[in-house]
Amino acid sequence: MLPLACFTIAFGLAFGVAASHHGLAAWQAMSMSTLVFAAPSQFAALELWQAPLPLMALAGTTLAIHTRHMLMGASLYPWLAPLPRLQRFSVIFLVTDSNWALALSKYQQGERNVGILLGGGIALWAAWVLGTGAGLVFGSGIPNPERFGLDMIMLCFLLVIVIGNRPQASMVLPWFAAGSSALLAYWWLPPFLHVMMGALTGGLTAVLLARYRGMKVSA
Amino acid sequence: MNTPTVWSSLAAITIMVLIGYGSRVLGLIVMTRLTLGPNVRLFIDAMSSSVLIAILTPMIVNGDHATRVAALAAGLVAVALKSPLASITVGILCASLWRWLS
Repeated sequence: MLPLACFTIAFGLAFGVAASHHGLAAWQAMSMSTLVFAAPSQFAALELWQAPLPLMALAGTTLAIHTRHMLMGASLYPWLAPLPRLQRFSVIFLVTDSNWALALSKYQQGERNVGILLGGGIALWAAWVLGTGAGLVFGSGIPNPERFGLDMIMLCFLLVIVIGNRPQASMVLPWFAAGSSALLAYWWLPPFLHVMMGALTGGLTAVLLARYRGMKVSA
Repeated sequence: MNTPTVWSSLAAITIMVLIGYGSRVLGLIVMTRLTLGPNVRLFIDAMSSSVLIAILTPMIVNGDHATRVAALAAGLVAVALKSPLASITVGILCASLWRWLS
C-alpha cells in the first residue's frame, strides 16, 4: 500500500501541474481531487475545460469512464455486505482503480478486515489531494510550462492508463475503431461528439469481435 | 485562455462528483440483484478505455511534432517497462528536448 501511496502523490502532483496549465482555478482542481477522486475522469475533464464548458460532453465522458466502477462496486459487495449501510457507502467512495484490484486479490486470499480497504483508501485519498495541492503550487510558479514539456502530462497520463493497465491483444481492433471513428467525428461532426463516438464504437467493436470469435470456436 | 464561469465550473464538478460516486454506489445497490451478461460487461470494459483513446487520437493527430514524439516515447516506455511514472517522465523530457532543439 505504501508504494502505491507514493505513486499517488506523484500522480496528484502531475494532475495539479496539468490542471493549473489548463486554466483551472485552485479551488476547482482541489474540489475535483477531494470529491471526485478518480484520476482518469479528472484528467479527461482537463481536455474539455474551456469556456463555455461543454457540460453534456463532460457528463458523457465521465459516464463512459465510470460505468466500469459499477462492476468494481459489485465485485466488492460480498466483502462490504456485512457492514452497516452508512459504513458501506462511505468505504465504497474510497475505492478507485488502483486499490480495487489490490483489495479484490486480498479478499480472495481470505482477508475479511474492511480496515484494510478503509485505511488504504484514506491513505490514497490523502496522497492524491496532497499531491494535487503541491502540483498546483508548483505549476502556477512556472511561467512557460510548454518549454518544459509540462503540457504533455495529461496526454501521457491518459496514454499510460490505457496502455499500462492491461494491454490485451483483443483490444487492438476496438481501440483502432475507437480512434479512427473519433477522428472522423472530430473533423465532421459538431464539437465534442467525438469522445462519445469513440467510446461507443470501441465498446461495440469489442462485443462484435468477441461474438465473431465465439462463432468461430463453436463452428 | 478563456476560463469558464464559476457557476458552470461548479455545475461541471457537481456532475463529475455525482457520476463518480453514483457509479460506485450503484454497483453496491443494483448490481447485486442484477447480473450482467458477458457482452454487457465486455462493452462497459471496452468503452472505458475507448473513451480515453477517443480523447487522445485527435490530440496526437492535431498536435505539434513534439506532442507526437512525446506520445510515441511514452507509449513505448509504458509497454516496455510497465512503469507509469517512467513513461510520463520520458514523455515530458522528449517534448521539452524536441522543443529546445527545434
